[in-house]
Amino acid sequence: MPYQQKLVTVAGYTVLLLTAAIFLFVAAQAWPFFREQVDLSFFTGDRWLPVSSPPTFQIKGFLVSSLMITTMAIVVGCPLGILSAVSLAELLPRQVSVRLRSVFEMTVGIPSVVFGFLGLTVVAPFVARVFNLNTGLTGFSAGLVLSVMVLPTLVSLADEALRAVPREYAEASYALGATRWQTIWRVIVPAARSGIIAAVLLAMGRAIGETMTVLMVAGGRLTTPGSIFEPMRPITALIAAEVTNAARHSEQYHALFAAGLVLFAITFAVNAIAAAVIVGKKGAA
Amino acid sequence: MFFKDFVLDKAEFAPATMMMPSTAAIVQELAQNPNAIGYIGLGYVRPTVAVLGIKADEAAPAVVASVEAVLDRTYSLARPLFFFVIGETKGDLKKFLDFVVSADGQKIVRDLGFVPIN
Repeated sequence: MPYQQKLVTVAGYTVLLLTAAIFLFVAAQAWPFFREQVDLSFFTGDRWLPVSSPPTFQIKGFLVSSLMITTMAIVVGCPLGILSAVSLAELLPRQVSVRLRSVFEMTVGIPSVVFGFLGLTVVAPFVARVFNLNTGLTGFSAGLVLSVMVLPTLVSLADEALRAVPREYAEASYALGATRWQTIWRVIVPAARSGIIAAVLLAMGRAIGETMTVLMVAGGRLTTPGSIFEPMRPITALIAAEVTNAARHSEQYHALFAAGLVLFAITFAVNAIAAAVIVGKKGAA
Repeated sequence: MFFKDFVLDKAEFAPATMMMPSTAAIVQELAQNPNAIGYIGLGYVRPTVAVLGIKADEAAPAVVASVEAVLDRTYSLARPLFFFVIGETKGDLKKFLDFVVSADGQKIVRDLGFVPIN
């Protein structure tokens, strides 16, 4: 094997090994917690009292918050993202869409703390006023900000999926007398379906994992929210807020890693489904 | 922890309590939400928030936090701040610690709205 090829192989395995090492580290730090925790109250209970004696660690509220905010981000972000991908790939003049694409790709680089700050100072007060809420720091505000943050991922992947549809499909459709509109919605979008679904799933993974924004905007209430218009704290924000205060190898420290492991499992599952969708499409084609 | 031990007497925070990521975020929320109440460090007090007096016990008079009230111990909800170092203090570390407790250092503490040592 030429050395360049070896180098590439080594690089590939290094990434794999690093990912596995991260997983193993989190699992190892979470293990002391799960060894002590005999029932399922960690998942079903609503009390998180990390520094009380005895402490209680139950994450239902954080899990529900994560799911609520992610759902909100996807429900709002998807129509917007998929429609802009369609216009980028099919409707806009080439020169315009090329420029827009680079703008979109640039927005990936906006630090999430900037989004968090905007959420805190602009979106939250706005939401409080519009819905006449006590506080604007709610899951709704966080979901709204996140729906914008997932757009770059969503749009660029969906756009790519749409552009990967063979030109012949569109030409065949036109040859049969279909209009441009019919061709887009009846031929191109369905043909790119699995790629678009994968884009949505990856955007979902991004939303679940987002930390800084939800820490700043979601409000930080520790119990299970009754609705999306209440303050809440997703798993990522819980870990970010507490891990720097948790004494190393304390019960709280291990419980936070246990929460991290749950988060890891969720994002892993979402990404695995996305990968399966992409591979499934390749297999079918 | 200090608040939980000292004010709540080790009882739990109300489930509806909003845990904020920073004191600045607390100040921001207090300024925007007319129903909000929170606790912050003296140095973070801004004209956008109203400061309430507190009583050490039922009979005591309500005292509003200020540098003077903390120094003469009429304001009870105050705690000292410590530096912890490993081993001997020497070199730059000693210079830094000496500066912190010096008149110049303590002036900075007071200018930022916090309570100097004396």
